[in-house]
Amino acid sequence: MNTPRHFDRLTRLSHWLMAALLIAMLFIGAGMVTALSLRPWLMDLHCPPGITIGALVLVRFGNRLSRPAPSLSADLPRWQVAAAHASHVLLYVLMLSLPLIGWAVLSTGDFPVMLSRDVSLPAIGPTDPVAYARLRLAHVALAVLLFAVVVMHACAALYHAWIRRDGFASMAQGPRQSAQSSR
Amino acid sequence: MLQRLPSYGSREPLLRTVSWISAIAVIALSIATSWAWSVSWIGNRITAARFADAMEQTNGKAYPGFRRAHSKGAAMNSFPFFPVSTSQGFYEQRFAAQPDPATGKPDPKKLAAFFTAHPEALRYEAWAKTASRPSSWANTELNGVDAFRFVTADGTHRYVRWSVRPQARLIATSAQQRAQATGDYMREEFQHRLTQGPVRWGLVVTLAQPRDAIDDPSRPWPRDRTQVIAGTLELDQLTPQATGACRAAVMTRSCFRTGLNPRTTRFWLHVQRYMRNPITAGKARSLAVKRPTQLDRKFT
Repeated sequence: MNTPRHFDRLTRLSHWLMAALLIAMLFIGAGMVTALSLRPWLMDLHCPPGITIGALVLVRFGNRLSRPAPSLSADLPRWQVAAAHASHVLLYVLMLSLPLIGWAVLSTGDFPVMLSRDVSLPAIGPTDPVAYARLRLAHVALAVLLFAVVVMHACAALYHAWIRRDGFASMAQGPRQSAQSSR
Repeated sequence: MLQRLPSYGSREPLLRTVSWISAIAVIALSIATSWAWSVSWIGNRITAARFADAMEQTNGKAYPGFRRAHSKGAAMNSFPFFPVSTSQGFYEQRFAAQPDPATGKPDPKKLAAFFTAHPEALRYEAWAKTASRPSSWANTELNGVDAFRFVTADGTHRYVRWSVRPQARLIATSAQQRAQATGDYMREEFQHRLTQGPVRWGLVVTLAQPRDAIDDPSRPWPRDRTQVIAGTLELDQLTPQATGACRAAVMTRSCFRTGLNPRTTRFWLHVQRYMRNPITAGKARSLAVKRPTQLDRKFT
């Protein structure tokens, strides 16, 4: 067999790490713009994981290009194959662009990009209130899109795991789990 | 080879597939619902957006296109400490103090309930009874709400509160004078004053001692705290809000990269937003329809 049944260990590990970070970030981000007294605390909490996700995506993307990925089997309807590919491309694009735009939002607003209490990143754009307002709207819109894609991704995985039982969902697990699920 | 259980249209009972689909739907719906609550698409909790709405609604009259809080006039605190310690308290105060349409005065029951829930506001009431009311913005002392953490170049930090102290001598107004003044009196007086030259305030930084309240703006610090005059605020022109730059674009200043620009003020402290302040957290949002004003620029 030329193509593996599972993603490699690094990809699987980063998949689950990023899944946890993304879900957390979507809720922190939502809370950050609505909460009253927790607002500053959530804002400080939002930045470091965002930058981490951006960095992990780069590692993952390089890894994805350099190693073979499991392929989807031939008996899957063509529209589902197309949807799977499109949603993964969209996930990669969003996971990379959201941290970058977030960084640009803080930069154009002249806010510090604090990774910790003492470590900050440089600005990636000039201070510009109008650009700040537009980038902030874009960040929100893309975050809503990301939430929708993440939920669809999870639903599709569960569909493959529980209903089709075709082993696709175990691509992101490992050989051990897949041995159990495919019995 | 991957073993597969039979699925579509074979021996798998339809009921089982339906129950798995329901399970997936329940999971997806619960995640979506909890997120929708976080974003406040559902539910009625007091969010930053509703806080801003409340500021506008309780303003007496809404001015579309103007800032939603302090929509007309100046956004500044002439009181030495804030009436309440949290955003929640601020929100409740605004509604409790609303005039009852029947009497034209706030409902005493609502006010009593508010003071029971937020007793710290009594301190402000006591202050307001005896405080003198200045005759001009130019002789008014203005105070920040937050405490800030100033970090020096060697990494040590101090908590501070800032105020701007007028160079003009305080002239208090009488109740009769205030009753006779027109609604635009302060702005007109200031406009006239500027024709005679810039108006200046000293920027005063008060240093906290270890047990001073740094997360409760309703608690004043003792009067004997060390104060440092850190610079001068100078206003030389007044722009009407209707044509000014303080509309439309969003920019709030509850956080600073460098607080007081060292190149222009020779002030070497690096200001970081103090994280736990509950008031300006909400307020930052309600001022959101505004660019940095001249006053902001002097400070940022």
